[in-house]
Amino acid sequence: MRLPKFEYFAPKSLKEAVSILQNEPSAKILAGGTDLLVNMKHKVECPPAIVNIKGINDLDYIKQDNAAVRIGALTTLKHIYMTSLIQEKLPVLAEAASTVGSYHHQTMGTLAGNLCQQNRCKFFNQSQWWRSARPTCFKAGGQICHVVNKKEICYSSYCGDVAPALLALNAKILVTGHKDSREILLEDLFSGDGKAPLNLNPGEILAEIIIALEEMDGVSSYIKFANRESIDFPIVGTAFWASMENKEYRVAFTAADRKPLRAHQVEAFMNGKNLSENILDEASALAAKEAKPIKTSVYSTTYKRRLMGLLLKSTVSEAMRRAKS
Amino acid sequence: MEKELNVVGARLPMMDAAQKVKGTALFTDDLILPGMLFGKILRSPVPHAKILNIDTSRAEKLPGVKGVVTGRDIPDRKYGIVPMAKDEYALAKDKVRYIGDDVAAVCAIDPEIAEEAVELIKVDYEELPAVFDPLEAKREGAPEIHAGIKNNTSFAIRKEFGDVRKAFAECDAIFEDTFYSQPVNHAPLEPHAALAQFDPLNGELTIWSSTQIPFFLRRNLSNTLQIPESKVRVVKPKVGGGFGQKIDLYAKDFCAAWFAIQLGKPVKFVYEREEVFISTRQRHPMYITVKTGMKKDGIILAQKFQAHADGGAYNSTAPTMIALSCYFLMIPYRVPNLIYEGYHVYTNKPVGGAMRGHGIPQARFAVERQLDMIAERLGLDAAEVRIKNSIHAGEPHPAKFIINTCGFSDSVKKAADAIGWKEKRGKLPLGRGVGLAGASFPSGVSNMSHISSGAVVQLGRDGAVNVLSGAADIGQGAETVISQIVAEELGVPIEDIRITAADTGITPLDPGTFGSGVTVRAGNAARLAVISVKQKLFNFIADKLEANVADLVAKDRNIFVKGSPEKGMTLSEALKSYQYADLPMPIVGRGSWMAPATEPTTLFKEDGNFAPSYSFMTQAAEVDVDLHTGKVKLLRMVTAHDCGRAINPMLVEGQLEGSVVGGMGQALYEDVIVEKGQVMNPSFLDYGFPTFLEMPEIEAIEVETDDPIGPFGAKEAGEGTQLSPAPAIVNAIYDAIGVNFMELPITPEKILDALEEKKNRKNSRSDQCISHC
Ligand SMILES: Cc1cc2nc3c(=O)[nH]c(=O)nc-3n(C[C@H](O)[C@H](O)[C@H](O)COP(=O)(O)OP(=O)(O)OC[C@H]3O[C@@H](n4cnc5c(N)ncnc54)[C@H](O)[C@@H]3O)c2cc1C
Ligand code: SF4
Repeated sequence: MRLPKFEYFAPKSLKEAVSILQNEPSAKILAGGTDLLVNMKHKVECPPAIVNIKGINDLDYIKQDNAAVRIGALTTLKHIYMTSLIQEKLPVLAEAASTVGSYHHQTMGTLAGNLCQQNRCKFFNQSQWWRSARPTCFKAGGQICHVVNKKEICYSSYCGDVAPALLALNAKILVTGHKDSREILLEDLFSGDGKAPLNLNPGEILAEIIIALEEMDGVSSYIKFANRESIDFPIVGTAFWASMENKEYRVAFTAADRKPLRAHQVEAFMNGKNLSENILDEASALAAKEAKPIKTSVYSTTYKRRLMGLLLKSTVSEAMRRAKS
Repeated sequence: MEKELNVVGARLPMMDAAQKVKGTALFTDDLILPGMLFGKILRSPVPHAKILNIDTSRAEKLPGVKGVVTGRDIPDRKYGIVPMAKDEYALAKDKVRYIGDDVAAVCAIDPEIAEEAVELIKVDYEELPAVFDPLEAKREGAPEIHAGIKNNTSFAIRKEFGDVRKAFAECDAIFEDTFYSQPVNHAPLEPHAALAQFDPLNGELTIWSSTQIPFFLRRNLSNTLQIPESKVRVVKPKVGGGFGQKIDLYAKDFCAAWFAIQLGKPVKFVYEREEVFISTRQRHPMYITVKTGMKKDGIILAQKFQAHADGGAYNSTAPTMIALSCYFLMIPYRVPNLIYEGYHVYTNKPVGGAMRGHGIPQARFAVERQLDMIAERLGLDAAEVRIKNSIHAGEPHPAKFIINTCGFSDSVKKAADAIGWKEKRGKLPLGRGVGLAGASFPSGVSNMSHISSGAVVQLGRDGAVNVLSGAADIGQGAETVISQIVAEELGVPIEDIRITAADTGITPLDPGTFGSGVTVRAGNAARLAVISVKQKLFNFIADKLEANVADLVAKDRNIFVKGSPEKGMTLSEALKSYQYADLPMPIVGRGSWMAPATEPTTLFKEDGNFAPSYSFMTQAAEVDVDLHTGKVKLLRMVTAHDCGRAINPMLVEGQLEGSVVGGMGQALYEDVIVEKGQVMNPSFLDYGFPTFLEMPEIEAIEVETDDPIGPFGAKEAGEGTQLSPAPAIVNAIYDAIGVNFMELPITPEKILDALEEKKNRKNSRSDQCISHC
């Protein structure tokens, strides 16, 4: 399969990149390309222009100042999980990054690219010819949805591995735009709209991911359940973070809904409690209700719900184990 | 055969292993010719429709496009891998029959333009009702997929062996169960490709193709293109796996040749992975009902077997597949009375074809599962039942197979011992289990259509041994095995062998890679050829050494009198004096081999000895089932295998490992999921076959027999081992969680559902014994 034609830009600075994007509002940012190029070959994304940001110098870093750990947008997933600071203090992030795709995706794929990856659907991630057997769906620019027969809503799922880990860490992101930069909660990046999953304005670039230092005091874990160990998107992924002293907990899921999901109700139920088996049973039951998985993959929604409860327990027990040791 | 062997039996890496690892091996897509053009095929987006009109004008006008061809333009010649089952055009003529059917092709100066041009072709379809299930397709009133084929049943056989009614009456217990085996794709790493070149001056077509059978391709191209066979030359470059999927002619072969002829320029086609999944072949999905009657002690008296194979849109190997699934019910177990009913039914779906085991894996799954279920119901040991019913060498066979050697019962014992059957079966904690299953496969099939293998060996003054063989090495190591045989006979190391294999313009006739025959057929032919060379040389030397020809041996690049190594000369000296005696150089030997049979049989009409020998094996699995997630982990797989003498144990292990992954895939991972005729998972990512990290620990146990027919006692090791891993795994899952799965694949979701169901109806036992005394 071949790439559709596009104009190519390789800016040397963020500023330059932003200004190109201003002039070409439907241009696409290219980082590792492991998500974008596949979609372009399938012709579900045909941007008139590509802005390759890999040539921008200072976007590949992991640094710590007196307020936060800051990770540059272009930092590769491998760099993240190979960094001892992350491994030791933020294991949930290292684990999530190390489960993405296969080794190749981890060396090519960047953190921002991973967070900003497209939603997925079995009717969408297919070649142009394949899709020609059915009317074009909303997400690909058409009039109907093959999964849910409702007007104008796309239920495609967000399947990225790293987002739930960062949600559990309450991460913020720095978005650089034409006029200024804004710092927002990562959670607010995701719109929940399958057709346009990100709340980014034209011309905006995700520049940095920010994790407050106090997050390092908690314990955490990410568990991904997938078909194969070597490669595969999650069927469900679950991230958990806890401050044992404060009995404060955070839970996030991926591949269970149209966006990566902070499970606020589950957290509200758990917060302040000791995590006994009974409490966990109840939390698991709640977890299954918190998301709205839709059958956008070959896996059933019942199975996804089951896994959510199950993985919540597994991540909790893994985190507790870590708290002890 | 009491003979000391040096090269045969050695663990040698494949001769092209280093090239492949370095990436210098040349596959079809690596070949580049001056002025080469690129082709692309337009495929049907509808499952069943009449083609009303094809408008190619916009495609033709696109700059860079050199040609467009549709079904209208090509000769009215149907194609089919089995001559009696031809039902397919290289490009659809009047109708499309599945999503993915070949409709038209373009050829352009680069692949991008070809892809763009294909999208500019406008086809008007009149959609017809479609049918996606063979049981529905067989009903009265179902849409007719091929004109004149009633009930969409293109092949149906009913065979009876022995006296089934009488035998069932004598049984103590009779059981009937229904199974389903899913569609599985071969998924060879190398996608299908072809590159064709035509010389208009002498009218000669040369095609490089990723094919398993160069000589069939030659014949089929000649037929469909209507040019003489003598003007078609098929060259097989390196082939990255086939598993049966590359025995057929495909549109890429035909269209590459067509455009090369029309335009006088080389033309290349390479399929996308999606095309490999949708538009080539797959293992037939099959519904199976087996009724088995036994004596109390577990001896099988009679079986009734009914199979509905979902053929998809075309026949491909339909009659062979049905015949194999029938006859191989009577081996490795003694089934003296059998009724077989088999139907090959068209549906508007991807096409079924030969795939490793060819009709037998589906049948094995049903039978091996049912044997376990029956053993449980009758309170017998499942391994014992298999040993008791094992066929033995030399015994008469209901379908007239001749069993020269048979290590089956031995293989059951050895596999059971190795997996720890006695200690583990029924005794492991919930979630852990062991299971086993047996199988047999024809070795060196050649008793059909008078096929034979030829080989030529040339020995020059330089000492290089040139072997010409028509065998098609598709990654299994056929060239290495043949070279080992030649090297062994001539007493030289394998490095001295230069093999040219599979070029129909140069190498002798060979039936190619199918029916687990290459080692036996082409190996025997090469052996005869090298023996003939050796005899010529020995006859000459014997005089010089004043020795008897019969006393000469060739070893370590020397020829000498047996027992007195000092009485001899080096091979090089021998060749020099041969040449100096003005005898014709190179010394040429020719060999041709065909299985000894008075009457060849395809098994379509009459019984007979289908293959010169049969391999036997038992596979035993140990699994761990995660009761929370439903995930099954295959911990260990033991294969006890009677493949005669292994010419190269390392290559046999390679086949075993491949078959274990294939079996795991069939049992646990793989399914070509089709919704409304459309394949939902046509990529390596979504199809999700097991990878290296899912591999279990593998143990291979040799059950050696010395086969009188295979070269150096060898039997097949390619397809047979693919038959029983899946049922062994499913039987182990039963042992682990007490659930009898009747359908493949067994996904984690199905495991969880089954566990839940089991919990819900703990008390209601569901024995399906129809009569029990
Ligand atoms: C076979 C396969 C398996 C995969 N498995 C997984 C998996 O298991 N888990 C998983 O999470 N992902 C998986 N992926 C998806 C992808 O490889 C990873 O998510 C990867 O991290 C994406 O990073 P990238 O840098 O390559 O992104 P790109 O492809 O370069 O970009 C992805 C998207 O993000 C946008 N983007 C990139 N950088 C920025 C930025 N700085 N600001 C704003 N927008 C930006 C791009 O425009 C594009 O839309 C898989 C992909 C494939 C092909
Ligand atoms: S959910 Fe519906 S609209 Fe969205 S990608 Fe899938 S089919 Fe298209």
